[in-house]
Amino acid sequence: MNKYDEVAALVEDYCDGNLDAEQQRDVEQKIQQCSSFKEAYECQLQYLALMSEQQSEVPPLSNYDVGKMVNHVVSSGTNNNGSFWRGFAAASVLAASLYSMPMLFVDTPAPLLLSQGIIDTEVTLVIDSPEDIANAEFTIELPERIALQGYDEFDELNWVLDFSKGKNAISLPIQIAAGIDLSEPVLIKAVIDNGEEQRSFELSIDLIENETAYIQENKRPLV
Amino acid sequence: MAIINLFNRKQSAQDDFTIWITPFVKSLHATAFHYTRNASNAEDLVQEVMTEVYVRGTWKSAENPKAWLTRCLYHRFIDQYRKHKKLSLVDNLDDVAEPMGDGCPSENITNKQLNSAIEALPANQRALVCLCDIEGYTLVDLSNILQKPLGTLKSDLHRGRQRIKKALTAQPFEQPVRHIVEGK
Repeated sequence: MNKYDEVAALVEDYCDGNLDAEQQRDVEQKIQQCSSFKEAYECQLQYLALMSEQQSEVPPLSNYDVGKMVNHVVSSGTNNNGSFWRGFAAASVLAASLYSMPMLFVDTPAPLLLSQGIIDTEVTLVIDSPEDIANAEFTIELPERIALQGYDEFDELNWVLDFSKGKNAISLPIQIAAGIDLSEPVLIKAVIDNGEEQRSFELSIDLIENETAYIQENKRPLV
Repeated sequence: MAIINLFNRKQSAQDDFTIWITPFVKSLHATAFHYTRNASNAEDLVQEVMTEVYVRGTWKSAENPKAWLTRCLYHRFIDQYRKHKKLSLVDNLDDVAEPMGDGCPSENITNKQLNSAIEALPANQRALVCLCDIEGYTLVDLSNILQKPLGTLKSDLHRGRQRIKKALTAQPFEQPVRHIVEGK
């Protein structure tokens, strides 16, 4: 390592906060007094600014794209893993039950666990669609004291979405008011309208995934 | 989380995986994009990682899913890069000609120039630079996530940063254009 590299490495450590307090002070002093340190420091700042701009360069990935990618993985993964006949049989069962009532999943009740303050969390809805549906109007009706983040004055929200055949994942950032029993799944009403047909659902949603972690972090709220 | 099921059937392993993986896909995609510098390659890389963890069933036992997926993505990127060398032209530090420059990026650097500088790095340095300087992980975080010694990561990161700085100083902003004036 030549002298320039040594200076640059020290300055990088200084900017990354890898040095102890005394070394941080030493480097800070050298940056003020020594031209090579000063130059390396300015150079590092310029580099870091350039790199941090790259965060915003990522092309956006819509929930629809996420659903498509995951759907591709589970369908190709299942076909790789199992037999053709198993995949075909599953597809046949799905097609046969196309017009039957949707299933409502209800989770086993857990002990009472009340939210202490406002909680921001994210729930993912996975919609298994029998076919590609373009421009479907998706409406959800939220129960009291649960709101979509940024839209807390609305009880009902709707979007126009494209559903691809198979699984479609929709992430909803929600805000839960204090005093809600987190161990109980909440019911959200949803309607999908493709212009010709309208289907209504009741979605049972677990508000928190990991209750044990929540209890530890919040030192066991009211039971 | 919930399943809206347009069919009358029970929640399957596919549903479990879909619910498990979905919250991480966007961040995996962003990291993959930083690694590959290309949207289509990023999607392919994420798909490959997801398929691998789904088919092997290893996702069921992951204690810290985000860290574990980040490590899977890192290793997949390095493997893919070494096997196919599709994502860049160079792999080994010894193969790379040192860019000439005073080591400080000039002003008015374009995205294209930065992309070229990052793409010219060996895979491990490229991944580290992306994780630390774009995504904001600390070396200590990365040592835990990637399960690699802190010293190794630190020297790789330093080399990567120096190479980028030198490349940005060395390369011309515009390709020189030679105007040929034909004689009368």
